[in-house]
Amino acid sequence: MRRTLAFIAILALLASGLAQTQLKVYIGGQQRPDVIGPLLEQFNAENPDIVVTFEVGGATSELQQQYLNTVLTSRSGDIDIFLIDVIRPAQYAASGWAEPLNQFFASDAAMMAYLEDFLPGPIEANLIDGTLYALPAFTDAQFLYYRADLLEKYGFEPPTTWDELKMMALTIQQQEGDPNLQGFNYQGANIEGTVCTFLQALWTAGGDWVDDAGSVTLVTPEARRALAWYDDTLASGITVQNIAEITTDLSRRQFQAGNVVFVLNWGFAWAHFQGSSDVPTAVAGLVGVAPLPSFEGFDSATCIGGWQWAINPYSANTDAAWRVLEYLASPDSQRVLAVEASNIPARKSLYDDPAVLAAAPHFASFYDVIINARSRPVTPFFSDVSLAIRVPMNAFFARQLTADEALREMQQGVEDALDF
Amino acid sequence: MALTTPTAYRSPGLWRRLRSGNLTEAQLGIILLIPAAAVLLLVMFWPIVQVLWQSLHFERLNLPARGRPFIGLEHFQRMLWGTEMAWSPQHLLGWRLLAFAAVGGLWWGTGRGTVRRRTAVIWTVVALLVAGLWMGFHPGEAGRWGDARFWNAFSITLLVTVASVAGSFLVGLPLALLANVESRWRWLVRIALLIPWAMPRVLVGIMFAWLFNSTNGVINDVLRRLGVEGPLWLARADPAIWATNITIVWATSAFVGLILLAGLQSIDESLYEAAMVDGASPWQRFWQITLPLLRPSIAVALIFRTLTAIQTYDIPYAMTRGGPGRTLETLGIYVANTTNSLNLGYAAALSVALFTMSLAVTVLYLRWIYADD
Repeated sequence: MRRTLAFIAILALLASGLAQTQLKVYIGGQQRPDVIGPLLEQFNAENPDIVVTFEVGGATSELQQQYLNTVLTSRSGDIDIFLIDVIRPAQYAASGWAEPLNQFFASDAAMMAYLEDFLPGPIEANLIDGTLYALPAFTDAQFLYYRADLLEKYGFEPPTTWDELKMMALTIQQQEGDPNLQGFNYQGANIEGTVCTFLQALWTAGGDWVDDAGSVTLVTPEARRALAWYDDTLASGITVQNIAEITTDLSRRQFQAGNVVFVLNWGFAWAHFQGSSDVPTAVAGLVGVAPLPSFEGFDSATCIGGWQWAINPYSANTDAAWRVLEYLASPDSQRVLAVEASNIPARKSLYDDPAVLAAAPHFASFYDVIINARSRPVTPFFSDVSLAIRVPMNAFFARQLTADEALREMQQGVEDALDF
Repeated sequence: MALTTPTAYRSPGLWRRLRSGNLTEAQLGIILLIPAAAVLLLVMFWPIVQVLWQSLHFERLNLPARGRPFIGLEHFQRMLWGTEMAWSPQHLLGWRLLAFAAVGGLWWGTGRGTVRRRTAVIWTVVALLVAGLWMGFHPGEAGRWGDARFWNAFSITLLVTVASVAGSFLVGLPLALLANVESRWRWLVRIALLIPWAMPRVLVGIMFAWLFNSTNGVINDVLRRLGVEGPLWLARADPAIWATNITIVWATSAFVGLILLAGLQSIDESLYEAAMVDGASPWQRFWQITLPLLRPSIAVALIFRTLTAIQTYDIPYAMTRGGPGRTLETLGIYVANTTNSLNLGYAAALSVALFTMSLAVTVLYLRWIYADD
């Protein structure tokens, strides 16, 4: 009897399954499936006509992208919704790999009103020539983390210029007398983060990789100033000589071990510093966060990060997928992601949300940094541009190329990448 | 009574034999081979044909408006030759032309039987190495043809191949000899042979990147305790080449060791006994008995090692992602980077170049093995 009942139940489930729209969401292992899973369960409970399941794969942005490259090159509709890195929408738009979202709004004005609550940085990346290709899931940026205890000990306020940072780092290193204490740490390995290392110095010197007319401007006084600053960090000894092998996570670990005064890193590092980490922390409660310093007379700037929800244009159910997308980008969902996964919200309203601030009080100090975050080059050829910048940068940090050689190589490489 | 004329014996058709199970051995063999051959055709030859075809097309997924036009050999022209061919003195006087000329002459000579084949093979390898390395490391752009990044990757691939294959034999042969000695500690050597072989390459790469890390790594820590300031292993070009090759040798000499060990165990003990009776020294026994009899195993190990070395991707990628700069961007890494930049046409052309290198090496080795026949 029991068995028959179970059988009928399974049949009923299958039958209902056939009537429902089946959707699949693809996320990476780093995007907290343990939090996104329950979020989708809740959507299923509220929307009986849609069943959303999810697939997890790829531990880094590059690996996730490689998987999606395969899926989308073969025009497969197996996945309906996916998360893409903030550096990708332009390429997805050019390749026709993301469903334009304007169609789901009554008018373009309605769309702009809907986007009002989102931070400007992620929207700049997702809105290409008036067409919206993705909705921000959460955002990120590079922050200046510092040892609040050490700065306080020597009576310093967080630095606002690179010169101040150097002076403070040198003073603390000398006074502490610890040969293992690094003044300033950042990323110089052959990785995506090194593109930000370069651009942040360039932006805070008043430069940019491209001028208003669209020509690449990497051999400029501003760019030379940026690289001269990194030369100086190595020459003055505030930075370790092996910076060419420092990746994002390595630099996070060194700060976490208490060996660094100032470090540039992404939002995820905060939770690690406070003890929610795979390795012990020596700096819990001793960390401050500030906007990046700049050169005298110029504004602070930082690289934007974060992830976007997009719809697969090869999906058979784009209308249903839009409902899921709207749900995932809603303030309620972003609140859950912020509270339970420490993901930095992409909606302005959540920065004074009591529930968010109770769980992540540091988001209040993140806001000033996030609001000024700038996009890396928005181009369909970002992968090439990224390599054209980070490879010479890495060679520069390895002392293989001088600053001028590195800049010339970058200029040539970026021009080649955009010349098609 | 009608005479029954004897009809000529007709062998039953294949289908009949198949049903009755009365097949000749050759027929059975062919039938049994069909599934394997079909699978091979499907998963090996078909992709090869597709990549060849793809390499003749322009296809960039981030430029879908351009479509996938047939462009003939344009990718290969860009790679090897360049679009603007400049006949500067450097181009003409480059060693490579001399080297290629030497190769041509030698092969012609072997065809006529005037040059010994083995000499020709050795000279070909040397000439190609000189030419290849010169192509990539020629100072200044003026001496280069085509895609500088391709020639850089090509030279690095050659360098890694020569260094790591030689290294893995230098380490693998003694290991195999040790593992073949009757001793209480033989199990230890055998385990040492098996562990690196069984470990995934990416894991090896990440592990050694930590060991070689210049501030936190074990290697520099040991050096520091000995009073030596170690190099910035992965943060400078030259030590990074060393570090990567040492890692590749560590990971691959076990494979060489295992194959050579199998070869050693097939050598008849009585040969050594006879040699000892004749008063041969251990050194003589090694050179006169072990090494010559080991030749087939050495050839097998050499072919497999060289082919995997040409396709090197995993360890340099895991250790430095091909850095610092492009110091360790092997052809394999270049192909992967180009694919991820969605330039599928050029990536296919680069894969064809990689495939050609592997094929050339295989042909050379086969000629070497059958040189005496």
